Amino acid sequence: MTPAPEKALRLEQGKLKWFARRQILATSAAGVGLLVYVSFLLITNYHSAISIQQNLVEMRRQELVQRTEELRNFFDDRKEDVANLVLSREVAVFFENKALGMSMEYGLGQSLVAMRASFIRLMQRKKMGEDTIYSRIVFIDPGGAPLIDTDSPAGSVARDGKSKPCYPPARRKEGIFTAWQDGEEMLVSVPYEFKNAYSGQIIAWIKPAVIYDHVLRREQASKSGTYIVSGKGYIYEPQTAPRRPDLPDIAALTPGRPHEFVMEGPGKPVAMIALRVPVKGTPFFLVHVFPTQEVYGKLAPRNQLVGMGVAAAAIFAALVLVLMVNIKSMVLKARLDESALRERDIQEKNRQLEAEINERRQTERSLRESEERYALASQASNAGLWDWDIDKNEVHYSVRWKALLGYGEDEIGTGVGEWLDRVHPSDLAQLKIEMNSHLDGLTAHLQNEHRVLRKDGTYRWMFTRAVAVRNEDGRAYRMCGSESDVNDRKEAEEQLRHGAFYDGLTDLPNRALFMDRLGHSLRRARREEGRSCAVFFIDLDRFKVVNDSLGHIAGDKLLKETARRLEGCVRSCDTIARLGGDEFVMLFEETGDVEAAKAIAARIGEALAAPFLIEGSEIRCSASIGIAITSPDYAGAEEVLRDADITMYRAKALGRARYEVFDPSMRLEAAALLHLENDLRRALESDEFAVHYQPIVALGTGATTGLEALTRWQHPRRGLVSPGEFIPLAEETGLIVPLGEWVLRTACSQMKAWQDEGIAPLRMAVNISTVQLRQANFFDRLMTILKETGMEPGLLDMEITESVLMDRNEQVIEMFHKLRALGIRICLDDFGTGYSSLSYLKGLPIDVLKIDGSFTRNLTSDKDCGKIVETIVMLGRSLGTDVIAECIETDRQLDCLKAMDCGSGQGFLFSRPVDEKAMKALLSARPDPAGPQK
Amino acid sequence: MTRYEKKGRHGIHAAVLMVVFAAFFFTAVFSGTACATRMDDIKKAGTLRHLGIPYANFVTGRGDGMDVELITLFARQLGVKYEYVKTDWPEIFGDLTGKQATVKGNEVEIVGETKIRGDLAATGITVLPWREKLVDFSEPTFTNQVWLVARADSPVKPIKPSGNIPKDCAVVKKLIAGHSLMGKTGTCIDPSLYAIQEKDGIKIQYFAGSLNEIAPALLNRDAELALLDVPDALVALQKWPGKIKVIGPVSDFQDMSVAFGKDAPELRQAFNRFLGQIKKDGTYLAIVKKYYPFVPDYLPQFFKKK
Repeated sequence: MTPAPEKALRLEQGKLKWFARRQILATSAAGVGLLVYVSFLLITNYHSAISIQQNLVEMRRQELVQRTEELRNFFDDRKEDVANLVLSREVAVFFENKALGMSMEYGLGQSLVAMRASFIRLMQRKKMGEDTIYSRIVFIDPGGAPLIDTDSPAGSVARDGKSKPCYPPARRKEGIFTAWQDGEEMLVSVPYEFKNAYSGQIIAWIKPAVIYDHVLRREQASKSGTYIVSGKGYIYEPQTAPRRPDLPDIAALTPGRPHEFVMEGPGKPVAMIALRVPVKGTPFFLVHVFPTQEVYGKLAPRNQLVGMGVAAAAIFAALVLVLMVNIKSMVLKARLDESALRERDIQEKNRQLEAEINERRQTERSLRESEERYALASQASNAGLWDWDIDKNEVHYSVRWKALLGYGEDEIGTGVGEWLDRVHPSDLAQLKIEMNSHLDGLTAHLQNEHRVLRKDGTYRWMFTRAVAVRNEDGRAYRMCGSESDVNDRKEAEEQLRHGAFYDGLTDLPNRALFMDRLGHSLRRARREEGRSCAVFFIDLDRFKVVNDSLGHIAGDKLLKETARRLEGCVRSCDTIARLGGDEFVMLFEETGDVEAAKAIAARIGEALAAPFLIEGSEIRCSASIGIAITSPDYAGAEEVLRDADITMYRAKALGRARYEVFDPSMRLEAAALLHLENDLRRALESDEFAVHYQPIVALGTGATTGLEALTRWQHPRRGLVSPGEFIPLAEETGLIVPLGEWVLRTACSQMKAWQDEGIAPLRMAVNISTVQLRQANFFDRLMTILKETGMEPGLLDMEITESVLMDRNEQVIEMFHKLRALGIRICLDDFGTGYSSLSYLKGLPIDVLKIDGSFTRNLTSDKDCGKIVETIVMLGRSLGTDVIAECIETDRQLDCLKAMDCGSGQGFLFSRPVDEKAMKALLSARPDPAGPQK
Repeated sequence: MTRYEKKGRHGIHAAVLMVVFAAFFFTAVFSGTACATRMDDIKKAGTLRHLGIPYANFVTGRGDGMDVELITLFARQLGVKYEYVKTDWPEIFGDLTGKQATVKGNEVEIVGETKIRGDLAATGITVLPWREKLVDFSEPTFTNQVWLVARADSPVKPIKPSGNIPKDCAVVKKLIAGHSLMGKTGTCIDPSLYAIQEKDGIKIQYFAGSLNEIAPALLNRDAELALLDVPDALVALQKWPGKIKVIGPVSDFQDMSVAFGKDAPELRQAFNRFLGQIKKDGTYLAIVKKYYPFVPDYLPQFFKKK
């Protein structure tokens, strides 16, 4: 061997040794590495198994916690059920009636029955699925004695005191508790306070089976299950699930920590785990038991560890080389697989996450749209909106709602009181009743009108409409509604109602209301023998004069003041009403005595006698009163009023400012008046009217200067009817137009006839009624008559009353100017009787003032009359008009007038009014016929 | 209005009328009946006219009520149409019998005649001796008692029941002395029916409105005390809790029945048979509970024995 090949071989061997050493080293290193690796794998695997088991147990615990939450909600709902019962109207009614001292036999028993019925209703209504929740409800008094027990027949508890025994002790606390009676009972109790004093307790029995079937509701498997356990360790038996297993000592379990135990059963013993979680706010726990195998699988982690260790050592020796070679690829492959698995897992999770994100986006979009819609509707609506979360007892009030009450957005909180505390006390109870009815599901929606206090301290009428949102059990957990201002409508309704029964001017009852009360009074009088009342019909005397001379505004003021004075004359039970115009009626209840009625009438007369101060003018106003006393003979209110009306006319006819009491003869007279109207119509056609003439004399010379034409009616049965009787009737019926025209035509023809017969012409004065002057064609008609009769216009005097001029009707005044241009004189009749100011005369087309007869008659007896006459004469002189005194009857009056320098006069002293024949004789016999004076 | 005109009013076709009329005519001729009974009249007209007055929940005035349902069912059983005829307490017996009568206490006097407007009257009518002189009553349909009531603030206090109703009535009547009392003539709450007179300071006020308005009138201080029958009192206690109190009874339990003319025994018997039948099959109790939910429980002695 050459050193070279040896060297080469050594080198090769060295290389081989080095390689083998390296290989051994590598293999040893790989073996050690593999060992370490296998150990590492085993430990990791063990820890993951433990961790998975803990997680599985934790998951079960979390599920259990969730169930306790559900159970807690269930019990909260039960507390609320009973709390609502405590607040129910039926309970309140019973205690109100009891406080009034009412007895069970008479009234209170009814309230108790109603209260029991409300308990039964609750029991029937509160259901989960088809099952009722409560098995029994009792009301115990503060002493613990039962007042109502739904297990006993109605009323039996209260009446005979008998009831099922074993009530839980009376407690003043609200809550869920247990009591022992054939097992632990599950109870909910709420105390009742009446007027802040403890008055008893409502206790309701909950059926545990309902909780198992509807709250826990998950299937109870053969070995695992969830159970309700009381604090004392009593386990409530599920009704439908398999019998519960024998459980460990529940009281000894630590809440939240798993407890392992072995359950002996019919087969071989089974390792079990128990979990216990308290139900907050109740004396109960939920206990969940399940076999260990459900979370650990067949092998426990520790056994797995040992098995795997042995197997690993055995395989290690055989596979050490393979391992050495393959270990890397194995590890790599394992990692690759794990990585792929993780990737798949991650992909799956990503997919789920994406789906969830999409779902959330969709939900958010819907929510946002819904919120936007709500916000838009809320802004656009004129009504305020409110949204009451009943569970949280919070109310969201819209900005508009707050604005309706005059508040800014930040000035109103979220309490129910923000609303209810502002509701008018009179409306609150009704609102609450309707609200509770709706919450109880008795009405389809809440609708109520009530007044709400605004920030400015005023109440306004609001209309609220709302609807509750209910969960699957029918319990309302939310209520939304709107509130709109209906104040204007309510006020309008009130005004309309008021307007239908009250007079707008005086605010007194109107005819309709008066007739209703009178009718009511008559019916009452018919029932009660000897009872009657008095009806006064009041008409103001000469009110028309006030209205005509001072205007309608003053007239209205006078009516108002009169109404106030009349109100001062009645008692609260009497009625005073305005029928219209200046007519008032009064109803005096229980005043059937004539003397008493007369005394009241006298009092009214006095009340109206004091002067009225209207727009600076002092007005004296009297009234004519007709009194009718009711009797059972009257068939209706209209008849009584008719008789009082008739009587009032009698009082007027007898001289005004007085009262008269009805007697049946007046009814005949009223009927006669009606006949008179018919006769009047007929009289025009059958020529029953005649014109009489009275001379007008120049007082200085005694010469007749003119005549006044006066109408006379020769009635075929009644004889001569006074103009005072038929002229107002003719004016009222409009017959004055043809009648006046007939008089005018007759007087004109007569004058022309006398002139033709050679009698010296005289002025002819004819009375023209206001009604005639208001006829649009009066001027034309007058011209036609003058033309047809041939009467000279310059001889005609037209006598009008002050009221014609008071209207200041421009057309009438213009017509007067036209008439005067033709030579016709305008005479103001009855001057001095109106209330008008004298300044109105200025500028008016007046030629003659005729002094009213009442002043002339009293000229010599009444100083004031003398002064008035003197003033009128002076006025006439200063205005440049003639003055004629009416009704001169004595020489003294004549002398007096002469002394005052009054120009003309007429009256019985010179001649009565006489027919045309007598007048012709008078005129023919005139010693010194004087010409007409202008 | 005659029966014949009434049919026209209901718009029955003339030909049908003729046939119906002819059928009744032949029935009458061949059965040999000389004069038609009221029952025949009703069947001939095809309508049962129910006289009623809005009162408590017997006739609510809104188209329903316990008596409205009872009579509607009765009409259906007779095979005729139901017609409600509104009347008032002073006229109801006149409208039923055609006779006008005046009543003083328990005495009646016939004073005239009037038109018959109804075939029976059912509106919570209490059986009173004077009424029995005018009309015939069916078997009781309801029970009643008259109570004295006061406003909650009244000094008159509710009595303590002795267990003996006549004794309680005497105690209650004594309490009325010195107070004004509201009642209503022609109804079961007329004070004169219970020998309450205007003496010892008692002032009796007869109320003109309807029975349903007495409780509001009492609250309005129109009188210090008032008589109310049980159905009305129960409604008032529910409506105004804490404002009205029951002092005690002035009468024993009284029956309420459907009234018939004395010339209509057949109709009354038919009604009694009908009533017996619906009491048996539970229809009657269901109707009572619909309008007076608590009364059967509160007055078990009346409703259980049926």
